[in-house]
Amino acid sequence: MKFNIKNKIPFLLIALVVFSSCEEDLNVVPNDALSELDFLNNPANAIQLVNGVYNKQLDWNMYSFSWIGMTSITSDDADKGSTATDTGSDKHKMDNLTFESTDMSFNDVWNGRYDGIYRANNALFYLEQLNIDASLKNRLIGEVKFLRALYYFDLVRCFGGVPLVISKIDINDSETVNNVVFVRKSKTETYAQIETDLTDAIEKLPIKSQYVGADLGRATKGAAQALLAKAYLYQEKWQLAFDMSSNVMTSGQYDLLPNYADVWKEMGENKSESIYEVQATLTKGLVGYTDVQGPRGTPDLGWGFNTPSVQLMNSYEPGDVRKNATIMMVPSVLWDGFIAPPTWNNPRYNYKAYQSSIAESWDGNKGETAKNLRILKYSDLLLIHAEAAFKLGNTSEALTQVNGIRNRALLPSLSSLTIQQLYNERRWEMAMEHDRWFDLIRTGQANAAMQANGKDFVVGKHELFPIPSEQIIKSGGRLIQNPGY
Amino acid sequence: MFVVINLVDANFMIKVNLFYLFFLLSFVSFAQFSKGKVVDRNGMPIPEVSIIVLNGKQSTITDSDGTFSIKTSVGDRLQFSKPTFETTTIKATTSMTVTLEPKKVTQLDEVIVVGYGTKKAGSITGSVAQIKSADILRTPAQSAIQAIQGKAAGVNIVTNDEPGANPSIRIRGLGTVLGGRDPLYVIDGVESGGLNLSPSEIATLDILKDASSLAIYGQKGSNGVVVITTKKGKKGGIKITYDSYYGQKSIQRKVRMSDSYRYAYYNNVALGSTSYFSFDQPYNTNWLNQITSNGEVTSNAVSISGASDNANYYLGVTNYKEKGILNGTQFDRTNINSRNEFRAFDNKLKITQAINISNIRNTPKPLSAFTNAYKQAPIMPVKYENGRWGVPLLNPSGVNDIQGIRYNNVANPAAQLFYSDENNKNLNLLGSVGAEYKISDSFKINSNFGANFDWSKGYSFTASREIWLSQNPTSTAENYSASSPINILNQRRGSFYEWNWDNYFTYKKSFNSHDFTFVGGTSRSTKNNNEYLSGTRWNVPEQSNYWSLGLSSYNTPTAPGSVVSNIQSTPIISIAYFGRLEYEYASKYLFSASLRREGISSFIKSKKWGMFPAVSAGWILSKENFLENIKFVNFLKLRVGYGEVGNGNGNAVNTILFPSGYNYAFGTNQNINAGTSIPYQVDPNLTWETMKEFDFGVDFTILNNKISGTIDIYNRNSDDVILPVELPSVLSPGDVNLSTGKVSNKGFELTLKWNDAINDKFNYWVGGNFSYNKNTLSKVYNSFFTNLIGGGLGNGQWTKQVKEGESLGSFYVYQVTGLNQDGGFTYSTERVNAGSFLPTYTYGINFGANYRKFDFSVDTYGVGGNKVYNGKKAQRFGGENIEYASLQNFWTPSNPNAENPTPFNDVPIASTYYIEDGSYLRINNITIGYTLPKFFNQINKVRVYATAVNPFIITKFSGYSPEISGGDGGNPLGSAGIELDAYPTNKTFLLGLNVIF
Repeated sequence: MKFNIKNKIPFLLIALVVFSSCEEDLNVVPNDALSELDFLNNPANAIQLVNGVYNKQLDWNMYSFSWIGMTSITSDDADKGSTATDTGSDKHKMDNLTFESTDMSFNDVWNGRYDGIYRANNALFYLEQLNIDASLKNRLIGEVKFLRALYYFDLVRCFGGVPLVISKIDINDSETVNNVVFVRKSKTETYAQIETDLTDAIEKLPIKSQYVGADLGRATKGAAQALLAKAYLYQEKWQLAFDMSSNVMTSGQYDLLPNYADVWKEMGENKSESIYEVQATLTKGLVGYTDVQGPRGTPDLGWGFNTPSVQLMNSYEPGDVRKNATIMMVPSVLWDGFIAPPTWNNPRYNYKAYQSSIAESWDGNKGETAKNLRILKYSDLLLIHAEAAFKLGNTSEALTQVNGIRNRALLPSLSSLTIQQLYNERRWEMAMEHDRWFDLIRTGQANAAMQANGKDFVVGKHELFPIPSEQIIKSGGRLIQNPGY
Repeated sequence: MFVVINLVDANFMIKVNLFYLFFLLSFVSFAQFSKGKVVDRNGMPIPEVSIIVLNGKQSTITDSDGTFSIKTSVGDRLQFSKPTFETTTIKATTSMTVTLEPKKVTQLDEVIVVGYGTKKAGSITGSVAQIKSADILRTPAQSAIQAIQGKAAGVNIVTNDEPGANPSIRIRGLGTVLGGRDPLYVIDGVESGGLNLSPSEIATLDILKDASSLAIYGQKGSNGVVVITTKKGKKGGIKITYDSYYGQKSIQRKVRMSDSYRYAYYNNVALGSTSYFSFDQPYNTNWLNQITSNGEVTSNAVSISGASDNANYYLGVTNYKEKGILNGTQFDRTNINSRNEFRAFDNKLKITQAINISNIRNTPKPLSAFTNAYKQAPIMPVKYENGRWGVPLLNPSGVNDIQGIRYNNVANPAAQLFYSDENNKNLNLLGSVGAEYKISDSFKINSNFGANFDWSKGYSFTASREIWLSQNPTSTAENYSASSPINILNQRRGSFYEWNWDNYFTYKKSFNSHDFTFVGGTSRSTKNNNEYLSGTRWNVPEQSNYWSLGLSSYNTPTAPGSVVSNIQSTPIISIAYFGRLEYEYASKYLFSASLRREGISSFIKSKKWGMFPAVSAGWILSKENFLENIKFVNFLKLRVGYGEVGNGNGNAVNTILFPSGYNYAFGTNQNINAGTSIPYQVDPNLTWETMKEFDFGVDFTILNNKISGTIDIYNRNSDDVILPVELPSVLSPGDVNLSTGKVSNKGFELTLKWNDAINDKFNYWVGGNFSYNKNTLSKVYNSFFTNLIGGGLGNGQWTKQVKEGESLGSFYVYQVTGLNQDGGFTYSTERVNAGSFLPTYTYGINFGANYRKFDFSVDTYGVGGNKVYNGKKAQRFGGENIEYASLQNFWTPSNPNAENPTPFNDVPIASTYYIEDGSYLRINNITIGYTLPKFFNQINKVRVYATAVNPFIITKFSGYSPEISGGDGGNPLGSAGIELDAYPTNKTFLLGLNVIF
């Protein structure tokens, strides 16, 4: 190519303009979210990161439809509910114990917990890098470890031993992924990890009253202790369960509310009986919990799933206030004055999931409600304590706690206690609170209870739910399915 | 490739071709002058005619009045040439008048657009399809892309008849999963992701298909490039045109549903009851009829154009208005298109300015109404006698009543449409300013700036209390919760701005039989520069003139996320340097090589930059001696090309992000505490997808130019295809994008056209094209890529999976193996590949004729090898309606070998039962036109025509339409190929008028 310099000038000018503005421009900063660098430059982000771990508890795949189906509809306390034609995808299979590994509920619950664990691991990873006050950092680590233990506790109860992921994993590190994420640990190892996290959390967390008012609802030492006591109970480590629950009882932070029915109302939120609950408010609510269980029909309050069973209704002793606080009878007048009309489809609904549109915070959004979800409450802990005591031969301590619970329910004290009476007490006290199925399995009553309910419980299979088939596919077959599925 | 040859406008062969003529420069040493004038047949002077002395060195160009003067000696031979005229050689005299005949133009001389330049079709070495205005306008349509369906080989267009919807366009198969799938549109130099132009404003539409043509567009080109040139004014006085049509639309095919009696029968069997539903129902509603009515379409276009020596101008205004067949859907678009060219400094400087304004108003309605109409029970009335909306409630005697037990979860489709109140407006400005400066005859520079602005606004009004009342027919407004909203108003505003600035030079040199062209330059662009703002308030006055958020009576915040939402996207910036060398020897041997180096902001550091080379060559055999004597071959060219081209159209950034919004309430007052989380992890190795293609082609015209054709065989492989890997939640809850796939598209394209004039009263043409494409995800390198699923049906079931070794868009569902003893399906234990929604072949056959003043044309289009998932049918939860056909033959103990299962109320498992053959052959367009004899001097032409759009279809599919583009830009893992909430294809009958003044 040949041309004279006069011709080159305009071309060179253009080239100059374009080239000089250039390559730096390619370093674009994101506009729609903080980058890692900007995030780490601000210590205040530490708290936000931990709040994000709590936030997971509000999601659909945590405590809503799938969790309700697996932990409640399966049990003898509840039926599928809703209408005959609405199966809720697989909820009829939960009710009939005909579920399979491909059913969406299992994958939902699995993903929800592991997403929570992911957030916890990330939070721990970045907390280490953020330059913040040491005592705050300690507390935040404690909160995260409590939450991680809570997520693993759900997993081990549902699926048995599961993969233990306790640090942020580089997605390109295929060796670690294969050896950690896709390998199920034993049930014992899983519980050991829960114990480790909770022990550390107990050390780092303040007791309930040490938090300032604005922090009410954060994980406390008492919450970690209560969860640890429960984890010990599930492992039949009676002495440890007894001791750990004693710690909570002697902390002076908790007490039973005088009126059982208030525990699950908005007025009972974060009160003395509350050890740990999922915090929900109108502007950041719990997704799906009320909607799934709300009365179905006209007026339309929900989908009408997870209705208390006839067996549960008939199991209560006469005069037990817990019956009418747990089971919403249709028709009737509800505690807030709302008329439960005969145009609702089902004869009973879960009263503990009822969100009052009259007497509680309500903005018309059924899908996301301001109702806190009780995860650990003091009566649960007392019964853990009682059961551990009973197993240790300390029947009088067990009887004392059981009678305290009974008296609050306006039932007379018992003079002696059998293990079945203790189990019954736990059933009534904790009815529709997502523990019944696990309690049946844990105490070996499942087979008999299910048979009595006309369900075909397969011993050696139904003690655990199937590992979701989608997860097995993801692992390339490395995750081993539970027996019988 | 030249699909179309009628209506050639010689003026389009712009001045570029002039440069080819300078290679004949030579010298003579004589001192005598020939003077004269060059004129056309009508005696009009012709400027810019190149005159050379053969065997000499002198040359000149005629002035604007056609006069010339050249140093020569009498008897020398002078050659007069100009691109639009036949070259003439005459012996020199001292005073001459030369008449030039207009050139007989063949398609080989047509100007085809290549990246940053143009070329004659005959010397193209890549694969480019050109479609002209007349062929676009033959099918009246909202979008030019819809109108060219079936008119170019290798271009698969899936149309969508929803008012205002865009068709999806795939050029030579689908090479990506997550990246951009649409071609780049270059509209008068403006790079755009979409096309808002009115079809009537397009002069030519060039589709660049093969990688050797596309490589110069770098990371934007891998899905093909559609270069659109709008109309411009031509010399010869002001030309005014008026085009108008009006048409009526209706659903092309309907699906017959059960009546109330059959509904009751089926659902009773499903429930194992004989009387749950009474057989004697008071209502029998045809829901589809309740939500649809005849649609209408009107288009009016006016243009004014003209040119002088130093300028040309074009102004066009088009209004397109459509009332959709779904009640309440309306689309209205007005386009104003202006394009002007100015020349100065002895034609050395050319300034081009183009602007298109498009103003759109659209009232969409939820397409789920179609699914609801399909599902809702006929026993339910639209409204009860007392005027309340029908609700699926069953009284104790099994009759739909105003109260009772709800028997299905399906909305009342008529009420759904009635209460859906959404309105969107959009203003788009697309414009460019370009300058071309000719420094010398062989060297010119171009600078072109193009920008695309877009403003949109809209509202949604939800009459919450009215809707609640429509669902609770026995309640009154007093029963409605006082704390719930009476209504909710959402107002939204959005805008985007994108621009590109290209600067390049072109150098041409010719000597002896060698022709060189070199193009080099830079390109800078910014895209994805979007902002969106929306606000929501409760309880505004019902009159829409008061719908500003400030007039709400409920201004306390409800949910911060929804009260005000403001999203600002991260722009994607790219910088590129490019060059291309073209070389021709003796106009027989053609060679082209290009290289583009490009950086894009989307990727991290070393992964930002890529290099995209291309080479191609052509050999015009028909110019060789050994073929000169074979008379039936008029033209024969072999082409071969290889190129690499990128696709960087993905996420704007590849870095770990901490978005806000993961909030949580703490404290006695449960105040919101801000929270954050990392929704997904990123892979630092992510980079762009690179498409590498080898193309071999043959272009020919034979039998005295009556048959022309093009054959292309290609093999393209897209490497580093980005796949969203769904890792276990504990590694990353959101999908992680990895450059880990390889997609292969192998195909074959054939285009043929027969064109003949029997006499001057009758001519006809028959054209056809056929494309075959085999699509395979040939390799996935990441071992964790186990499954990528999609095609969700909204009921927990999914239908599609991306698997190594299979076609993208494959349906993976359970194989129905038979019926069990209860009449339910039995399934295979594993899902099976039930075929892909992507067709393996498409074809179009077009023919037409002109006889005296009549014209007639037919366009057909067909696809084959694709499957459709009947997603609306696979939607049972319980209590829905059932197709009439399914009732004809279902399992009963006495009919154990039935085609359909026993009635059931479960969510249907995704299975082959719902897979259907999606092949079809459709007549897209039949047009008969008549040009009126001249009746008024000022009117040059009046033509009236009648067109039937989509009058017939041949298909085995049992649903509304086998052609389903799906939402989300034809996302292969979305609802493409799944008939669920899909807008049925329409047939349209219209009458039109063309007038030229």
